[in-house]
Amino acid sequence: MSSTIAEQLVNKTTFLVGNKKNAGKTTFLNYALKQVREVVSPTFFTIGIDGETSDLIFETPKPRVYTEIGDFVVTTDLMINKSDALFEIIHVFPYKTVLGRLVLAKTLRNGTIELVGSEDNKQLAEIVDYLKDEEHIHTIIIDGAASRATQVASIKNSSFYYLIKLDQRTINADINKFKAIALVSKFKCIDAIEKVEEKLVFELKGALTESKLTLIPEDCDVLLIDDFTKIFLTFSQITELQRRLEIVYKIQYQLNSFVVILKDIIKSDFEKLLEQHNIQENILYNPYAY
Amino acid sequence: MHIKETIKFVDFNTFYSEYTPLSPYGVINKNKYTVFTDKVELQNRYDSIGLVVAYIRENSFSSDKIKNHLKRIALLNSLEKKIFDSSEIFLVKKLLVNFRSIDKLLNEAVKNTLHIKFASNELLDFLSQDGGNKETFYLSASYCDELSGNRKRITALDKELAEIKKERFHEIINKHNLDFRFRDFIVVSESMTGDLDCELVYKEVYDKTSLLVKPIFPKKYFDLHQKREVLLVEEGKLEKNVLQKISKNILEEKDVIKGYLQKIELLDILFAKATLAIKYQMTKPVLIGENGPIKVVNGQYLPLANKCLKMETVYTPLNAEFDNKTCVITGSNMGGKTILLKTIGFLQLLSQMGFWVPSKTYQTSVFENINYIGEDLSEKVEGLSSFGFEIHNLSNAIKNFDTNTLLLIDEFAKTTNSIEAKAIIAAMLKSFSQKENVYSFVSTHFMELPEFEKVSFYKMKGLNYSEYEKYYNKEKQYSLHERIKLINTFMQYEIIKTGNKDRTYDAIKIADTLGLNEEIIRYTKEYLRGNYD
Repeated sequence: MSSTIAEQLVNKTTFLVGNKKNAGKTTFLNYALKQVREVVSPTFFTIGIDGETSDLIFETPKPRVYTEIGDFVVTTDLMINKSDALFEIIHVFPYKTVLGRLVLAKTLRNGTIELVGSEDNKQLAEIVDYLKDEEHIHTIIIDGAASRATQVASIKNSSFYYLIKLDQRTINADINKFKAIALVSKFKCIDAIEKVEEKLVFELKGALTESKLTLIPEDCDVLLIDDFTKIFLTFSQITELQRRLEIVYKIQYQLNSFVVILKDIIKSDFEKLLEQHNIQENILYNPYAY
Repeated sequence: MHIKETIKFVDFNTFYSEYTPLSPYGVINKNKYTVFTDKVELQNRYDSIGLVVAYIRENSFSSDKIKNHLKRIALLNSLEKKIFDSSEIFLVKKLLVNFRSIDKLLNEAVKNTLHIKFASNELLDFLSQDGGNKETFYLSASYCDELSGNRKRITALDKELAEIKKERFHEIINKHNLDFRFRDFIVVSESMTGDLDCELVYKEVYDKTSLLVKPIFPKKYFDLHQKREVLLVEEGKLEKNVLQKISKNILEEKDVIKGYLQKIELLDILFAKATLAIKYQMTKPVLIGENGPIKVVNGQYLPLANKCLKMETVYTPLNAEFDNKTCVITGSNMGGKTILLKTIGFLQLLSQMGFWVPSKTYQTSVFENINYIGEDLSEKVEGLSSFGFEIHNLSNAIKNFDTNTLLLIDEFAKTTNSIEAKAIIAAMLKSFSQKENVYSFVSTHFMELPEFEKVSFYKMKGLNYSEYEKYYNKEKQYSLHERIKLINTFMQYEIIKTGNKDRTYDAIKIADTLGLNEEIIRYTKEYLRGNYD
């Protein structure tokens, strides 16, 4: 399992996206970083400022992010100064947050670091471009904001892990969301559609919501939308729509795997649920489970 | 100077977006849209572009390197503070590294003219301890022996801590087959936790069926951690002393560094302007005294010239010498009157913003005001009609007639009744021609305006109807796009000097070409011949 994660992350830009706050992204980040370090020094950062102080899944204090010698970290100058690790400043980005200016730093001594990032997708894309083009860094892991996957769309050719925390109390809602994400994550990029020139393609700008369904022409074969984050329909609405047309994206994504963290749910019961809902996804169960 | 309307009228930003300074200082300068009114200042800027153009032509490889260094320079935080943190010192170091490289790459001609000289080797060496001449910065232990000793102790403790961890993980693997090397904790089914050694692992409830298990480290591990904490606090204090020491050195050269920033800004905009000058084969504008005539030889209005190039249509550059300061431009619809005004406005803005111009010759004066008066190009002002907007702008422009003013007036009063409109235009011409400081270009469809001293009349040559008729096939169903292309093909976009009595009747031909109903065309012609009932 560990080699698979490292293989999926090395030389890629990967987002960790969660279905809710405290879905266990930071815990998974630490886990993934340890795997990657076996192969290459990783570069990691986050989106926005995480205001949470505790991890609700494990009900433990918010996990700290460990950085080791050779790692590259993007965070603010203030966090660098606060850290017990030691850093070399490699670059200062022209972006400011309430917690200081964003910098790229190389770790010279192991320690922990608080990550603060930009919430602006354009800045995020510029940071990734800088890392790739100027610093020739190619293994990038981004701790994404909870419940939002729009950042994935801002970086071309990026892949992502979708972390889902499933709790017995909210299982029905969670499983439906899981189904919807699983479905939309499989839609193709328009470039992969055969004989697209012979089909009637309708491009929908912005979000695909229930109210916009009426805008789609009856005779349209292909519905083109920016990316999967623009779909705001339920599972049944999506399947209904799929009966009459094909939904495609402008941008290609790669979903590495769902990372499922179960609470008060026995794995075998959950697997039965998956069967009932005909969900046949690539699932990585809580890597912290024995 | 208020140039917002003129910038919109001449679509200046289409060109300006190609002007790309690379450093943040150059970009800030660009965004100011500075217009110069000092002739000497402008001449110096043109000459400096000339030097950089020559440098780029002779040293293309070094020029690319300079551009790369300019691009690498970041915006400094304020230098007006007592102590800088590591990232601020990094920015100063990065600036010095890149400015020194630029200084090494430039030739003496450019350096002497622009007074560029790097003189901070000592400071740069001081900032480069342990880091060589890299742009990066690290608060090195070599700045302070005490800091060096402190960090060595922390590193030694880290090693010990790692060893203890490793040993404990090994023990747990051997005894319980639980691997903590990649995990801080492990979630284990409650049924499996009965035999776990309480000396080695700590258990807590995770959910109804599982426990969360963490390794327990020996007391020594926590003692060492405490020691590490103490050392970290001490390290923080020592680092602060080092930061103070470095900051003091930087502050001693604060004014010199500020000077470098000014030179970077200047050099950056000169390189960006010179790059455009080479791309578009531009020349220095010729600035003459306030009363000299404006003269254009092969003047290109780049927003249109580039569009024509893209559409593979012919673009006709402007060739004209305007002997009087009040110039009336007439001509057919789609004949290029507005483009002439735009060309003059574009070349004038370039000249006064310190660019070279895309023209074999552009001879002009320096104006204190460059005004566009015509159709409202911005959002409508509530309650103000199109005519109201023109009058408002004209009134504002007139307030500045005591200083050198360029007026670009495009089809003034076209939305009001033609009799009064013509009268106002005639009055404007009379008034403008008496003002020493006012240079005006007035495009209009009104014919037979009165003749005034110091007012010249020009017209756009218009449609080459004889050639056009040979080509035009009445039976053929042309699309609108084809019809427009036809007009463009046979339109002669040249300017010729005429008198005030010259008449242009291209409108009917153009309406015909654009497909207007034959009956209306016929009635129009009858009306003009006086045979209209």
